[in-house]
Amino acid sequence: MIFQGCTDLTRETRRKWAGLLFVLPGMLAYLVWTIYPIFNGFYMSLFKWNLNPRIPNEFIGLSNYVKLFQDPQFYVALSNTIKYAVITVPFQLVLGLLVAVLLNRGKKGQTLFRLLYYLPVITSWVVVSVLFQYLFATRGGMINFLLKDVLHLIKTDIKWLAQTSTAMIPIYTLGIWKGIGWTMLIFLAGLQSIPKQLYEAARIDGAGGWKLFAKITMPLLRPTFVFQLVMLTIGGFNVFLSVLIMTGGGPRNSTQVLNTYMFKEAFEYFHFGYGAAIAVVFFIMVFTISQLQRRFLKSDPY
Amino acid sequence: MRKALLVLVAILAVGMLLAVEEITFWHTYSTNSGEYNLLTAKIIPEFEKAHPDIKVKETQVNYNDMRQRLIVGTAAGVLGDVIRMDIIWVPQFAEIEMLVPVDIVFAEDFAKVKDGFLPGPLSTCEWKGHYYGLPLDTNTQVLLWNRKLFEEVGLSEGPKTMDEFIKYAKLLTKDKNGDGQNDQWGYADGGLGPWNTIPWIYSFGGHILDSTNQKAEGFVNSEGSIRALQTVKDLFESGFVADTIIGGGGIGTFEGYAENIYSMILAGPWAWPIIRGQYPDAEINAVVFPAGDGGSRSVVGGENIVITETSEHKAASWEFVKYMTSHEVQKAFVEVSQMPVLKSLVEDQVIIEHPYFHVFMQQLTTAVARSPHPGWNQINDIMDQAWQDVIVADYGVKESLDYAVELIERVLAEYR
Amino acid sequence: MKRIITNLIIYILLVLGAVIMCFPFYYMIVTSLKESAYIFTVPPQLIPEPATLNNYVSVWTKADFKLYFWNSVKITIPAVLLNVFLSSLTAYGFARFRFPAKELWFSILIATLAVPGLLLTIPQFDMVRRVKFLMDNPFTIILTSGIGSVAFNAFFLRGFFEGIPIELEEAAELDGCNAFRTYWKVALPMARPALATLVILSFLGVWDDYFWPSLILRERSQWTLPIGILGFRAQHSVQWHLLFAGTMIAILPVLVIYITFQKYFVKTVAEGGLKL
Repeated sequence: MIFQGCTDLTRETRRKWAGLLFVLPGMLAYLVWTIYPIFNGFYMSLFKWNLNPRIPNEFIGLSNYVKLFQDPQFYVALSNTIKYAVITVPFQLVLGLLVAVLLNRGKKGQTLFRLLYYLPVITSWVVVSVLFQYLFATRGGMINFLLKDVLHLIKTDIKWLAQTSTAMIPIYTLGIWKGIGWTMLIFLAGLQSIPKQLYEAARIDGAGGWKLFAKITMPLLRPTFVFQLVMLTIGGFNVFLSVLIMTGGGPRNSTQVLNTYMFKEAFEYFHFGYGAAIAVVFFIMVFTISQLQRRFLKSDPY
Repeated sequence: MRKALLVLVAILAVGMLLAVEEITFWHTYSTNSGEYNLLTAKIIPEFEKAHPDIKVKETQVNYNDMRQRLIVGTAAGVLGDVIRMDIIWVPQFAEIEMLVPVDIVFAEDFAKVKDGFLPGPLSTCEWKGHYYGLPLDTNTQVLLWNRKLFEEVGLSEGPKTMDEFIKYAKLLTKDKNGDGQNDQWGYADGGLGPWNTIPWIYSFGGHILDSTNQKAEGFVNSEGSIRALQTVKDLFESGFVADTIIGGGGIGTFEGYAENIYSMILAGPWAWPIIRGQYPDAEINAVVFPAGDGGSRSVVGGENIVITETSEHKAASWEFVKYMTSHEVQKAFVEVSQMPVLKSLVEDQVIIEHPYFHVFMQQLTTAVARSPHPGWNQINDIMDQAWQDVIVADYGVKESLDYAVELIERVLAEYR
Repeated sequence: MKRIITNLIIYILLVLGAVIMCFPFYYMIVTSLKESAYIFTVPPQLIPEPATLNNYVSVWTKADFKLYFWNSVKITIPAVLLNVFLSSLTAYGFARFRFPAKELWFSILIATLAVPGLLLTIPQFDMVRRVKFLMDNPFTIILTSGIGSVAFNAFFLRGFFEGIPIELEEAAELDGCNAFRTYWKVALPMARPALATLVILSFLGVWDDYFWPSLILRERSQWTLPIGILGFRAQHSVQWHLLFAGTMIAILPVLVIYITFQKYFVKTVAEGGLKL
């Protein structure tokens, strides 16, 4: 009896140490590589930080934050970023799921389709941003050419990237276009691991198409769904290169997002302390949102 | 005896090796226009021959990355010894004490060479009374005019005055295929930032900052500035200017010029190799910017050559800097379309015989630098926004410029 | 009959979608086959005429792409291996073991995902430049790429590991396997679709990485493909035809990896399926 108890205790301790050993290399590397720089960033935001390390930095406490909350440009960037996430994330999720479901049933040409849908994902942001800039050009752009001369849906060329009212549209389109293949891929992995037996059993019970989807597929896909929602939201908030290259934040700040705003303040105006403050606020916001998403939408403990 | 001699030779050899200083030179010379080849095949080897105790290690950086490289390098204290830096960045890096003030550290030499430089380019090295490098190459923008399109409407020469320009622009804008939209324009440009608009502002007698770069009120919103902006707006509203000026992409100025779509464009000396690269038979004609009340003024571009404060080989770097700005080297670079910054070359055969440099050198004598101020990036964005507010969003001209003054004064205050 | 119509509709939708997905791609390929004078014709040429393979030849030989290609390969493969190994170790630890402050640590890991990477670059570069050995060294990139996305990957994999029935591992333990062997011989093979996905994503991330390698690998001889490709964007002009040709070359290995590893999805279904 006593021996049994001893062995159990030792096993528990052994497993505890084993667990720590498993996560230690990754956590340690991460501590040095990511967590330390983050604290460095927090620290930077409390100073009028000078790029030259040999010039002492002036401590200004929370002044950068006070300035930030009174800055109209910050709120513009914030609202644009939120709009971007709110518009692109659902489209990526829904369309990705749709394609994954459609591809999951057929056998013919599945590999080819999967490949074609995945192509946008594997091209670099810089190249596709430049490409989309060309596609949406006012004159000589493919999109206007198709809409006006081929499909005759519009009479005059739309000034996509030159008008404040339409400038975000090419950027949204790019974001959604580039993300669908990614969500499709992950949903496919999820769909493929749902045991076929479950479907067969339900079919025997008389369930048809929609019911199968709603009662089996959706619930089992839930963890994947939540995971993707969180990741896509974080990704959406992090939108950067596409805006920088396609519009640089213009015209007239209508496409300025948090990252481009931070980039401008830090890297172009050399307001590094201020840029760091933007980053800190950004981080707190995104972290909160992702935690809320996980809490409200998950079914099993993660 | 033998042994001692060998040891002595060995020590001397090691000593000589140790005496060789290596300096790193960061630059953005590109490979597709021969600049890079000239540098590595001829310029650097000849310098090393003349200075056997100095070795130059060149690092080519993509133009779009140079600034990032400089920023990250500054923060980490890892920078090249000598840098070929865009002129508009010099005051910003000087302000954070990253550049060597050559008029102090190498005072004697500097005093000797200072007057050899063209005034416009030299002014871009100055901040708060000191010079933080030397000009290396310069450029400006002139007006290209399309002879074919001009002759079609009975014109034979590019516009000399602003009045002529406005008249011509109207004549040259047409709707050729009758679809209700213009497909040929009198004028086209790529943006509304100071790089594109300074020729307008200053040729109309307007300004951005005052000559000491400390004041905006009365300059940004001066009469001339207002008239310049109003004129461009009117031209745009009348449809004589292609859409590319407000962004949105479309046919680039060079392609449009060569394809007979744009009758007049602004361009720098790089236009020739670029246009000819795609359209080998293109005819290119240029005149200085049409003169308004302020004369014919254009904008100065180019690069300066600077030495970083973190360099441990400042004297050797200065030798290289002097070499790069010497008469022979400047002349050699003309071949690869780098415009020289020395007064002595303005009347040189190589310039006069050059197919297109003479019009640029002419323009350079009155060209205006973008205000050398560490806050320039912010001032640039404010000016860009002001012009966009008027042309894209229909705000009033005076209001926009007055508002720009307010914002710019705040930026200037940051650095006083 | 209804079946056939539904299938047809689905098929048409898929094809339409595929066309939209691929069209920009098609445009890139077409431009890469054009001579430079034909890039900006109005209306844009949909079929290159004259078509040429010169851009590819020129990019591979004259523009040193052969060198950049091998540099990329030499960095990406080890980096991916390191990444998958480190991430799966970490994820397994979180999935199967209990240790003090476990959820706190995990939350911290996840929190770092929300940080905008831009501002981290400066302190990271500052750390690297202090060790001379690490500058201009591809090994540095392997290391940092391997570590860089551990948080995301561990987050991703943990769910997979938790979804695997624990019985197999418990059986292995009874048979005398220690924790590591159980992980290596039992858990990893079971998580194949997840690992395959990870390889695909990780490969892409490292292969396409531009900014960080461009800061560290300053010598031309060390450049990777993304650095080479963006070299075609000069100060006043962009050589589109070469840029796109280079892009096409760079995309090939990514496609190969994708095609190879996506087979693992189908395989697992045949083996009885996994719970997510």
